[in-house]
Amino acid sequence: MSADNRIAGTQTDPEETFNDFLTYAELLNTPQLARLYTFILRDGPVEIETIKTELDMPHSTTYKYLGRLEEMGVLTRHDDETPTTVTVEPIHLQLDTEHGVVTATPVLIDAIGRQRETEDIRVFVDRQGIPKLAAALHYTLRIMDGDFTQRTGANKLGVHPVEGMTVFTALEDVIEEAAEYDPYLDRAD
Amino acid sequence: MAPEPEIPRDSTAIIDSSVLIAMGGPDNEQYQAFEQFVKDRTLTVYIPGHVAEEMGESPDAYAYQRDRLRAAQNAGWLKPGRIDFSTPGVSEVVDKTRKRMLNLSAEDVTEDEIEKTDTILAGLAYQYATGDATYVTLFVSNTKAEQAIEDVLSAADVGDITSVIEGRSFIANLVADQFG
Repeated sequence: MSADNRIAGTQTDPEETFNDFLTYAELLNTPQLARLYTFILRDGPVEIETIKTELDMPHSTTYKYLGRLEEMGVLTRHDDETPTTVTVEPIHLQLDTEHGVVTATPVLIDAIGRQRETEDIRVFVDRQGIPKLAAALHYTLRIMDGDFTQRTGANKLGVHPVEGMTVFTALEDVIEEAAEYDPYLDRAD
Repeated sequence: MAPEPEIPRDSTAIIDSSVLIAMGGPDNEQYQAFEQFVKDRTLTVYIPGHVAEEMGESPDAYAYQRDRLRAAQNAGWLKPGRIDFSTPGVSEVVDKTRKRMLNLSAEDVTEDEIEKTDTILAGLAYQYATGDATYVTLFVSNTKAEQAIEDVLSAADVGDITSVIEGRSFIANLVADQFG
């Protein structure tokens, strides 16, 4: 770490940047929170009652997670409206490490949040973990761009072809729907 | 959106495992839509032996994918397809597909990352097209396989009696038509 983390000509806010980083990490590690975040991102502004009904989430859990998103600074309550509605910000992280540069966007949070309802994603995360799911998402985008076949993608991911094809197919569904709410999807490579 | 191109009645189809994966189990509307389509068109549907073996060797956690394969076989509309390398032209088509896939793939794809099972699909389509089948439709799992196999089958002069279709979007369209 040296002075070159102050990028010339740009306004760097290190506190907010690290807050985004921690928020993203917490969303990835909390599938129910990820599901709630994605629902609000997709449908917001949305009423709290609608969230409870649509996600079939208990009152206390809903408020706990809404409070958490508010503490993270990604959720805005619109109290001037009756009933109150909420919106969330699309989070976008560019990670530059010794392993390369990747862009993390809401579509991965969506994939994490779908574990309860999508067996194909749940089985994959149970067996391989979240970093591998993120890698699978990266290769799914490349498959959809026509860079290679699903089986070649499975080779690159280092998993059995059936495991690869299963998760790629599930993630293709997620990516297609995410085009509507993830403004950074084009750059999620 | 109507599925394109039109798949003739009483013709032959070959599916990759991606079709089974995208269909889900017999309770899913995708599965039901595809099964209905196969019955309506009286298609003969094959799954290449390599694809079935690959499913059989998959980790136990994916046993539910094998169940889907078995369900389709038990329902009587999915048969095992066996590639015969002694059929003239089959091994050439397989070999050309491997080269075409490598050429069309991104620069960071090496030859050993091209999977044999992907190329077998093309060989089997050629084998049926030059055999008893009147028309062969091959359902693949992605645009890259679709493009490479289509090019090779056209160059092998069976382009007019074969079509290569991306299975997942085909099934999505069927569902939209039948249940939409």
